[in-house]
Amino acid sequence: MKGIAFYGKGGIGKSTTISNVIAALSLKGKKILQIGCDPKHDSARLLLGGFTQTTVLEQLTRTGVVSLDTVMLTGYNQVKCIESGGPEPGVGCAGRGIIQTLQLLKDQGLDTNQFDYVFFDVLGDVVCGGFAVPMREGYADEIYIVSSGEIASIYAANNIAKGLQRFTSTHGKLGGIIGNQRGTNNERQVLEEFAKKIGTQLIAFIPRSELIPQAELNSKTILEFAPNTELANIYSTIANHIEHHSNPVIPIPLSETELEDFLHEFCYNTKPQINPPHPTQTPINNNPPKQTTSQNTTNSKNNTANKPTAQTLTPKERIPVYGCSLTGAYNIINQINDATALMDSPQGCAYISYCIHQKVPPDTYPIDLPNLLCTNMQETDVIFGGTKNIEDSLMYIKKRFPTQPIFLITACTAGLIGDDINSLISKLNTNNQRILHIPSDGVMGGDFYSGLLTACQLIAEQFIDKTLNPLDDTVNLIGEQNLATTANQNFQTINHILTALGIKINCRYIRQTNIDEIKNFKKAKVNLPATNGPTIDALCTFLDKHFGTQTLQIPMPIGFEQTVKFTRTVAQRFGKEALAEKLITEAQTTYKKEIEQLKPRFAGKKALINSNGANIDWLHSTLSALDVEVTQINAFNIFAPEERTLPKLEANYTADYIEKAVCLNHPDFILSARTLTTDIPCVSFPVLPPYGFNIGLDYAKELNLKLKIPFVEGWRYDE
Amino acid sequence: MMNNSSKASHRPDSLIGAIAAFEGIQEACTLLNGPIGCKTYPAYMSSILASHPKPVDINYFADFYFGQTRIPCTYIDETDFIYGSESKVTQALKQLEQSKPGIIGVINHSGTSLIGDDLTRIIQNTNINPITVAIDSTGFTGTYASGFQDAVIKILDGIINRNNQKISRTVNIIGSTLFHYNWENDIAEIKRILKLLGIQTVSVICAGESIANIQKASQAELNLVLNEEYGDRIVSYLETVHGIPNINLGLQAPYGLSASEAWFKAVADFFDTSSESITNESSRVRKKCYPALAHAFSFTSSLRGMPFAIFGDSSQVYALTTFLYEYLGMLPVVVGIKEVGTKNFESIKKYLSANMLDTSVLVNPDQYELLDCFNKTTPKLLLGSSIEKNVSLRLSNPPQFIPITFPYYERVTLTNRPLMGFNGVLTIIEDILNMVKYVR
Repeated sequence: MKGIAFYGKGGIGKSTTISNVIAALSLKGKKILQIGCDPKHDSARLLLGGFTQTTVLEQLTRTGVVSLDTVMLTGYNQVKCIESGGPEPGVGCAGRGIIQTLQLLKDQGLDTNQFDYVFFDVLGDVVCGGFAVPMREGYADEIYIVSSGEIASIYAANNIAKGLQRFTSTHGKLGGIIGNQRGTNNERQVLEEFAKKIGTQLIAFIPRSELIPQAELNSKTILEFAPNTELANIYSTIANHIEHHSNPVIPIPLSETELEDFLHEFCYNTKPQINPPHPTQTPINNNPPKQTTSQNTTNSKNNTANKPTAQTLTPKERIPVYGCSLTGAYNIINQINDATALMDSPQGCAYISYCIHQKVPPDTYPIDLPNLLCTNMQETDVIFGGTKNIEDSLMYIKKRFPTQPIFLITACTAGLIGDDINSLISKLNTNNQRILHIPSDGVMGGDFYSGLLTACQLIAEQFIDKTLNPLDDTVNLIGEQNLATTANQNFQTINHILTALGIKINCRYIRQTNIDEIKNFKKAKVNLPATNGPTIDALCTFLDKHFGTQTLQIPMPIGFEQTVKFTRTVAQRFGKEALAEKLITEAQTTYKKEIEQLKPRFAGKKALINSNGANIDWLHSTLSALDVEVTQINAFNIFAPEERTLPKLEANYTADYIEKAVCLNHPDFILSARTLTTDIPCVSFPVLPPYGFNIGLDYAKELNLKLKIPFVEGWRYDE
Repeated sequence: MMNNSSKASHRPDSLIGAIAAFEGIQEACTLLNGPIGCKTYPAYMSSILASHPKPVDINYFADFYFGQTRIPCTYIDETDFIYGSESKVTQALKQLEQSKPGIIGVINHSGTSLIGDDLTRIIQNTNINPITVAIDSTGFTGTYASGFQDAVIKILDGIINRNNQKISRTVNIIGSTLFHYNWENDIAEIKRILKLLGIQTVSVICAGESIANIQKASQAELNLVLNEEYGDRIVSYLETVHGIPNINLGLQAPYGLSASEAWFKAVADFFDTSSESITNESSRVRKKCYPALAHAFSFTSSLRGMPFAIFGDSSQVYALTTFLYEYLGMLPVVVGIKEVGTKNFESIKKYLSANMLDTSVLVNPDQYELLDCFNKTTPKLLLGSSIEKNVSLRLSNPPQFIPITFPYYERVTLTNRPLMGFNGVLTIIEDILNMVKYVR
């Protein structure tokens, strides 16, 4: 069996050519299978006498299974014909349709070895991986490009050669160019020269002929309609070439400059001229840098003109995208008690989100059940578009929860196939029930924090009542860390401080809340951000700008000093200084007393800190209060490192740093974000420590106890 | 393919099934050609469930691992979706080669399979030493079991010896995966009982097995399927290509007494050997259970007719339902099927109908359907996974819970307490007797 694929620009005459070549080979007694790889599924029309057959993908969608008996028809001279089919223009993914068809045919036990030839008629250019499948190993052995002398056609042919070059590492596959006359100047010569340039030959030139449309009108090939003509002879010659004289080569596609030169020389008959853009002309940026990580949230304010775009960076230089926008968006929606999330994704994406939220300890998990359902995207949704499935899923949720808002969030695959979700939502939205599309698009929408930010912004725009006026002594909490195991403890701590100052919390944006609380967001004038990271900064800026709130630029506090500062700053904003000083004095008395009790155990000791880049000010100041000397801080740069001004800081350390640091500094103990096996005591510290006055004190007490246990536990000797 | 009408969001899919297949080989390294977000959870699961876990090592902060010890990934981003992932896959393969894995599995996630990156060609061009198997697509919402079986067949196709000369009285065990709850103990129990029959195991296909043993799988005389859902197509492949028959595909999985007896007696019959040891094992377990059950039944009436809900794969659920119903006189009020095996699923429906049981049969319910069903049926005992357990905790009177299937996060298993086989009967009865006093 020999596999043959015909490629070429759309509308160039591939199907006509391939049908005639197949007809010619069949007349020589060859057994042939023709597979049309084009959504418009008219590849075999001439071989089937104009009959439109059921396509593979059509049958799959209709019945869920594919049987060869239904999709493989017998046409002219016993030629077997299969059409892949595919989506309507503008929806789904036709390339995926080809991948799926060829796989399904394999799965159905299609034995290609019963044929002498299997022909693939492939749609247009090699625009994505799906259209290149017939080029791969195991499908076509030889590729023929059908082209006219038109510039667009030659461009397409060169692109096909580029694609083909990728798939031919060891042996050649390009069988040649088949010219199909369109009447351009010196067309045959142009094609001969082009073929030569890319390392192959023009194997035939099909002249324009009225016979072709006449045969097509009669739904016949030329071999059937006008067998004793020059045209029929040409198709037979191509068939003969494929059968006896093929000499496939690895193509040498032209570079863009070479192609321009070629076209000027042979098509335009001019010399190429380079016209520099007019000085006032705005240069077109084909690849605008896109925000894909939370770090860029603030960086985007800076001048990016001289920065390389994502495309120009090598993979190793691009910043990895941690998590994805989809899970970030769901991390927000799952905190709204009276809402449901619909994930338009394969089930695996939803499963991961569901499990992440099941794993958070129950005391921090506010919602009765994860409010997450999934469209469970199928192959057919990907190929034909998934709006029907999304609509069915939304209707299912509407039936169960007729008044709750529904948030539709999307995965990478949904972003890639580009369903028109907004039109669907417009159709389904009612006054009683809002559906909000959050275009997270998985990793294409950026990292976890990008999704979080997008969701918070869209929810604010959709639900916050702009007409409300603020009440006295109320605040909103912004950006609490929903996945932190300390989240509830942190809330209690902040609530305790605010209550002591006579301040009420209005809305937690967005944690353990509901739509009414979000609507009432403007009843507070002041926002308190949970962190001073770029995502929460961006969210606060957005809320202040759109809803007239004022963000107090003080993050929620970790450790004694930060908590004192936080308390005073908040109190000052609301004129509650006296209450603040009372609270601080009480806390200070306890703190000092207990630190003094611990000091004899620690004073004069030396400590080495290994941090993963998290906030360790609280740890450093606690050790200072205990008179412990910090000999070195190793900041491990796995996540985005914050700029730190702590002394003796070593950034970007690796495993062997620890050994060196121990030898150089002789610490009495190591405090590490992760427990290490070392020759000296090592105690871990929390990466996300809880808020409040006492974290340092509590940690010191814990450290005091942990330094009493054997620093190498027995099991470590059993390696 | 999964039922499109289900909107459930808590089932692992075919991508995780394919990952489980590679992670089930001791010397394997699984490279996910996808975003970091897609690898974090499977890598976490694999690191706690593999029989060969690697300790957390700071060096695993190396490229492609992102702070986890298993399942490196190519951290696909939007640029890769547009321009293809070839350069990243190539770089990753070259780096992974340095740690000398026995086999590398490269799996496209749903996005990279959509753009059609040709992994096979990329692997060929990279030209690295370890055997490398590509999974171009695991589908989009395929079942976990289908993803596992597809990947296993590709692995077998890539590494199995072509030597079909059979080793006398040997079997392969098929149909367990790394993510199955208690998989290691179950396999140990199956091997123990096979040994009593004088039968050796050549290979446990892709469930904690070495490459060398999987390569020898072609030489086993018989394939044994533990769970139909995870083995039907694999045994069909092995029969077609390597001429290895199977005998117990349509049987209940070996849970409980009668299912275990039937399963192992079928093996004994195939090898034309005495099944006396099976009878003895059954008798040993029955004798051990009898006094404890007699004592329990004399003091409490709650076990008899106790309503229970059970969730798992159809072959497991069928076997355990019949065991709890017939041997302990408990009443199945909910039967939930996670993976549907054609034969066992039909059998359980027939069984419930034949016994005139008005049991709710659910297939892949979502969490709201589950809660509705629990509210309606009020089971006192729940056998299932963390998913059902967490839903049941919303009830005013939650049922007692016994884990039998995954995902189950709460416990690391170190003791030898199987659920399958004859010792598995002891585990199940022990768990039930210990929880019965808490039933309200």
